[in-house]
Order: sequence, then structure tokens, then C-alpha cells
Amino acid sequence: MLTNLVKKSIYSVYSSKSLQAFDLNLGYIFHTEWLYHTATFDQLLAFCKNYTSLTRAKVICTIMTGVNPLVQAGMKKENCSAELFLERVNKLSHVATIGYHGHFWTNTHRFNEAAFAIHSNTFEPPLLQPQLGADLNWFQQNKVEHNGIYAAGWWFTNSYLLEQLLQANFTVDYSFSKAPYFYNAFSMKLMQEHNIKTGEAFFVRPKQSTKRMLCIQNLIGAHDSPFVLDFDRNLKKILDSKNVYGVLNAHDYDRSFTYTLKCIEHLLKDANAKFFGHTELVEFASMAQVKEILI
Amino acid sequence: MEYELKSISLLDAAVNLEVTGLLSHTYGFELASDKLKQNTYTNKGKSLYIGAYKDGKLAGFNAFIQHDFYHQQQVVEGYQSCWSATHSEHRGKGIFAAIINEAKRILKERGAAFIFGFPNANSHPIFTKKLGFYEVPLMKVQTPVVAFKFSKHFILQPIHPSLGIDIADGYTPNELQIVELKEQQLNSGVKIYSAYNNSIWGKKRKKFYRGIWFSYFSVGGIVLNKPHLFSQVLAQLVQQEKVSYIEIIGAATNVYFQLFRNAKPAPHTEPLIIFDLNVNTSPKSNFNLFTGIKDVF
Repeated sequence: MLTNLVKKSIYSVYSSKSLQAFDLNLGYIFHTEWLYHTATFDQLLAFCKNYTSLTRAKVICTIMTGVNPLVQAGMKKENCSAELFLERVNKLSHVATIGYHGHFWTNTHRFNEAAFAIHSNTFEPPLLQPQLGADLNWFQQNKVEHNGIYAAGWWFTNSYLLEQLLQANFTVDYSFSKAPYFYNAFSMKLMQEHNIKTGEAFFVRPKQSTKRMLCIQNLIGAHDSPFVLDFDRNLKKILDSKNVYGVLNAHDYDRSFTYTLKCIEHLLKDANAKFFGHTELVEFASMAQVKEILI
Repeated sequence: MEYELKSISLLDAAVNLEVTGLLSHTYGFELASDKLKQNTYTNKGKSLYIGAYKDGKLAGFNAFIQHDFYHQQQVVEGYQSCWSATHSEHRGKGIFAAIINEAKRILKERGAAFIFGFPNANSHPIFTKKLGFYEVPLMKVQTPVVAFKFSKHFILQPIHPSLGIDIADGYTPNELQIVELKEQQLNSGVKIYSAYNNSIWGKKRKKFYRGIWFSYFSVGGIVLNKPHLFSQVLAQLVQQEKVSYIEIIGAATNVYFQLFRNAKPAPHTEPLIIFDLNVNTSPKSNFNLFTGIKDVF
């Protein structure tokens, strides 16, 4: 890792406008996991408002539901009732577009152990199905609209999950990425086999289905450093085409919102980046010739 | 055959007592009454136990631990043969072979993929020459981990982020099921480390070599979702366990050995043997298993 001193030196000669070579069409997505935590929730609300005033676009907040075991443990710890949790989701829906963020386990009793999370290679349909069903039921029972938007927890995605989401009328997926820390065995293989470029949207369609899902890629994580040019340097490592449609992602609990806003200002000013809300991003990303991949 | 072969349940206290008695007699040490169940009864409750009876008395026994394997995005079942025992008064009468053949019949009907095991020198020839099992040799990595930041470059293969390791066509055990089985046992000593969607589990052990005790981490299994980030979980393990070296032993066809630079044959370790039931595998098939799956690990 570069030290601050080295970074200062390098960035003094690094062009702040290097991303202008790319047509950046961006959205911003939260993997929203700590709605039960008051301070985090307040910061998130404030960030969403600040983001909109800067970009004229809405943040996407994909949420873990109130029946997810990890969330339930957090609610208990923070004394957050189911009613308060729901109230926060509703408040958030005024400043952000809500979606669904799924986290599943091979053993739901061991939700606080990372090894027991369902990742691409620990997948077993009979274990996943009831957890997915419970989450979707929570949306329905509480009349929370997920807007057909899905973003994977732990970047777990595969053809089975995508099929299940399509059956439940999800239409847009934000789980694919070419960033090394994000993709998994399934997502990388699929994108490689079909020569998908970074920031290229694509549809996936199960062979036996007429429904298809638009997949918009995650680019890199949101900014968490005092050096905004860190962002440019890291993003350029994965960019391989001029036209880029994608989202920047973050958890609601582990980022510096101040640095992130500073970076967004930099992208608007120095990179001529365009920021869109979910609907516009979907519209523009699917306007180009979009590949359809059978899964 | 003069013996009656029966599928039996360890949940039946009387049966469990009889089996424990036979095992204690055969192995020559006192076995705790719940030891066998803790060692073999996986979370789905489908492990198979077969007894050979003569005049209503247990003369022979074998356990078959049910394991889930991921294969082409499906879960298939493999059964590990273990805890073989024949009462001294009944040896040389083909009880062991008869039990294995009965297990083949029952498990094939259940739809199981294969039976496997790690036989010792006594049972190996029976499995491979009389019972139709084939052998997959084992490989091992035994490597010092001092100054890991530096030494990792000599231990691990560089894995290009965009290439990965494809396990879809292999048979990859559900390592978490194995971990939970091991954890059922008293003082299991099982440790799990996870980072960036990869996990590694095993036990810290000691070895006396040339007058010095060395501590090492015996790897039971690996769960790999992001091969290019595997070094991170290994670094975590090394930092926490403070061991001199790590030892990884697994099937020679295990694709995870692609992670390591210095995997070598392990000719002195009991090999893996396989008998196909409802699949067609060969000595070249990828069995992505490590020795943590063994009942004796």
C-alpha cells in the first residue's frame, strides 16, 4: 500500500482529468445493512440528501430485510423494534430508491461466522430457497417496494438465484463486477465467456424462460481515502472500454461519507462524469446494443 | 452367507451399546458410548450403519458417513466407509466384504454418487482387488510459513484474477458440513479462518522432529470462491496461529493444489479409494477433498 507521503508526491504530477478519456455514466448503490443503528442511519439519510443535491440523482439503497438473522441480531443489540426498522425503511424510500440486498447462510444459526455464508461454491438450493422466500415475504407483508432491484451480499450470484429473482419479478441486478474483490467464480466466468467489458450492461435469460434480467455492473467501491485520485487510479485498472455504465458501491456502515462526497465532486468537475438514478441508469444502459446471455 | 446383514440406527440405545462394545473389543480400547455418533452422524442424519448378525449377536460392523459434494451446481452424496470391525471369533468369513457389498446395494438405491474411503494397509487390497474400488493417490504441501509476507511468494502460485480455478466438474465436499461434524466432538480443536469469501479450516498440531517440537497447522479443508485472494486468508491463519509450518494433504486430482507451488506426492499416506454407484468417475476425476474429511482427522 502506498503511504500518504508517497501518494502526495505521485498525485502532485498525476493528472486530475485522466478519467475524461472515458464516458462515465454512474449510479451509486448502498448495500444497506445497519438500518437498526441510529447514528449510521442518520448519516445515511444525510448522505442521500447531499448526494442528490450534488448530482440531481437518487442513491439506490438495497436493503437487508428485517427477518434476516444478521439484521435481527443487530436490531436486538440496538433495541430497534420491527416498527422502527420499517419506519426507517420508509424514511429512506423518500430520499433513495429501495432495492433488495440478499445475504444467505449454509446454517442460519451461524450467521456471524463468515465461513457459513453462502458464496458461489457453497451453494445448495434447498438451503437458499427458504431464506430468499422469507426476505421476499417481508417486502410483501410490509408493503415495501423493492422496485425489482437486486444486489448480492458477498457477491454471491449464480444462475439458480437469478432464475428465482426473475420468477419473483426482479428486473435489474447489480451483482456483477470486474473488480477483483467483488466478482465470484460464476460472475467472472460468465462475463469472460461473453466478452463483457467493464461497464457494459447485459441481459441474462434462463434458457426455459421469456423473462430476462438487466445486469448493470459495479465498478469499484466508493471512495474512502483523502486522496480522490486514488479513485481514478483504481478505476482505471479495470476500465477496458470508453463507454461505461455502472454503479459505485458501499456499505452503509463502513465508509467515509465526507471523502465520498469529495470524490463525487471531483468526478463531476474533473472527469465530466454523469450521475443517474436507477431509472435513468437502466434507460441509458439499455439503450446501446445490449447482449443477451442465456444462463 | 450365514450372517444377517442389517441397516441399523445408532439412535437406538441398545444397538449403539452393542456396536460400541464390538468396536471396543476390536480396537482394544474403551470407546465412549457417544463417540461413534459424534464422529459419523452428519447434519442430514443420513449416515449409514450396517451390522452383520449371527444368532442375533453383532459379529461385524461398518459405518458410512454421508457427505454432500457439490458437482455441476448440484449436490450429490458420497459415503465414507469407516469404523470397520469384525469380532475376533468371526474373522476370515467374508463379513467385511459382505457389508461393503450390502452398502453398495443400499446406497445405489438411495441415489448416492459413490462410496469412498482411506483404507489402511490391511483393508486396501480387499477394497481394490476384491471389491472393485479404484485408487486416487494423495498429494501434500508441507511448507514453512515464517516471514509470510515474503515466503508466500514461494508457497503460492500467482493466480491471475481473471482466470480463477474452475471446480464445476469436480466433486467438492461441503466443508462446512465436515466442520460441523468435527465440532460435535469434545475438544475438537477445529479452527476456521475466512477472508474475502475464502475459508480454510483445520487443527493446530505438534510434531517432534530431531529433538525439537514444531507446531504446525494441519489443513482440514479449503473453501475457495476467489482464488486470487486466497493469500489473504492464509495470512490471517499464519498470523493467528503462529505456527512453524502448514501441512495440506489431499487427493492428487484436487484442483485446489493449483494454488500451491510445491505440492508433492504423499506416497506414505493412506490413499483415497472410490467406488462409483450412480456416477462415472475415474482416477482422473477432480476430487477436491482434503484429509480433513477423514473420520480420523
